[in-house]
Amino acid sequence: MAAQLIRYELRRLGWMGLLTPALVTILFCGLALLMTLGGADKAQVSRILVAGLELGLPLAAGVVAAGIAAEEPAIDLQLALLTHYRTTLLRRLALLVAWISLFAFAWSVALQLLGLWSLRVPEPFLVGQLVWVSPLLWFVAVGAAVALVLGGRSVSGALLGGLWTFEILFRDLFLSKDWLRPEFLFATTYTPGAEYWLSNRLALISTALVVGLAVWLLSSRTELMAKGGEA
Amino acid sequence: MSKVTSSVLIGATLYEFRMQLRRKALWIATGIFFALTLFVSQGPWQFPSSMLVIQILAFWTQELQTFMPVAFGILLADRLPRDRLLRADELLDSLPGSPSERFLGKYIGATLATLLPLFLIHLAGVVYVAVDQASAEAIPLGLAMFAAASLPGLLFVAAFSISCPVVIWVPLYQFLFTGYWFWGNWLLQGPQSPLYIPVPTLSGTLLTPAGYYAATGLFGVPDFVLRATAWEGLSSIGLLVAFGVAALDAAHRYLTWRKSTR
Repeated sequence: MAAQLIRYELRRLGWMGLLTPALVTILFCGLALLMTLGGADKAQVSRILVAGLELGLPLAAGVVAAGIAAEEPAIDLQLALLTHYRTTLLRRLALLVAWISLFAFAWSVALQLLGLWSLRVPEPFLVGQLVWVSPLLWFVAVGAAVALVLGGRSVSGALLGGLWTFEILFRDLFLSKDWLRPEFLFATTYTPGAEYWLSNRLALISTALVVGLAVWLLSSRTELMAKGGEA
Repeated sequence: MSKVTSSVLIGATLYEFRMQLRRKALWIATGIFFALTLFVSQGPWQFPSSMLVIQILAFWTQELQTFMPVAFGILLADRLPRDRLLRADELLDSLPGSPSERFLGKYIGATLATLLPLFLIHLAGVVYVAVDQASAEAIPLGLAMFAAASLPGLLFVAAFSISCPVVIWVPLYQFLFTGYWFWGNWLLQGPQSPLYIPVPTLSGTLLTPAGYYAATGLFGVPDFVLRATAWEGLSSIGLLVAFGVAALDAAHRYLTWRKSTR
């Protein structure tokens, strides 16, 4: 039964959804290859590939999560089912996180085998997985929450993209303010080995859990979602 | 242009314009992005009084062009797939007029509506500068700056955002566009920077939609992002418009081919 559900949910995500992390991987590997051909050294190549894990995969996951939360064509039917919609939504989001995590973990193992991981991530390998775990959970939770609050895939995608660009362009602001630093999503890319790295990662996971709780509560109110989609 | 053609084009443009303008997503996203822009940048009332009017206008234009186009592009990306999602495309195909007019009408209408909040924000800043600096010429200058430095980049973004989702899944396009905006506009840093990585990028080239080539080249703004000649400014505008037209043409050809094979 569980296997059937998982197969169904994967089919529902569609081959584009399933291929998204692979495309992100190809994109960043392509950039790394071009850099290598352009004479970049190992540390620079390591930086772009680790950045792909921290900047690329989590944003892609967040945008897809927003789409999952914003679009349920059979939402009226969900109201009539024994399984609550919140359970269905969280299962879908968990499956998305698991799918992206497979790619992210394989990516980090490949970097470790190539000797590129430790050039950018001084922490032990398993703790270092927080490079992608923290922003991944943050983006998925925030993407789903924004989609449930604002009820549209476009506005959620725009806000996630805006936050992503905003944090990168104005990173100095995030790094210089004590109250903003815990929510800086890209500490590995811009300040590897910083003393606040671990606390930053844990703060992001905490935020993701709090926002995840909000997603749980919001998705319990299925009748609010049954009013139809945005034009 | 036949009567049917022009009426389909006008009808599609007006309908798409009204539909996009009434979306709450447009106003919410633009409002949040503008608030974030003001949070980290200077409003027109915060520039030093020693700055020239043209400098203030150029920096104001640049600030609005920094990351607000991310919302602009993403909000346009679902316009074409929406017809398919609602299964309206088959119905529309059965009506008089070719898909070309509807496609062009969708581009013009949705783009104009999405541009409107950006233009109003830009205009408000320009009017403030004109009053504050007691400079009547700030208004035509500000409008010209919008037309030359902002508009070509936004039209370029709109063309790709309407066209690419014809073949790319919308969430994937949203992700790719966000990444592109950073990679193609703001990635460039000098080799002397500790953050410098030699990533191949369009940033800093004439094909940068942020518009600083036009601002510097055509208006001669001193001490701006970079130095450019008038020819470079015009070339940048021409390239952005040409690539936008090419994207629209490719999408239109694909839609026509898809219809013929249905």
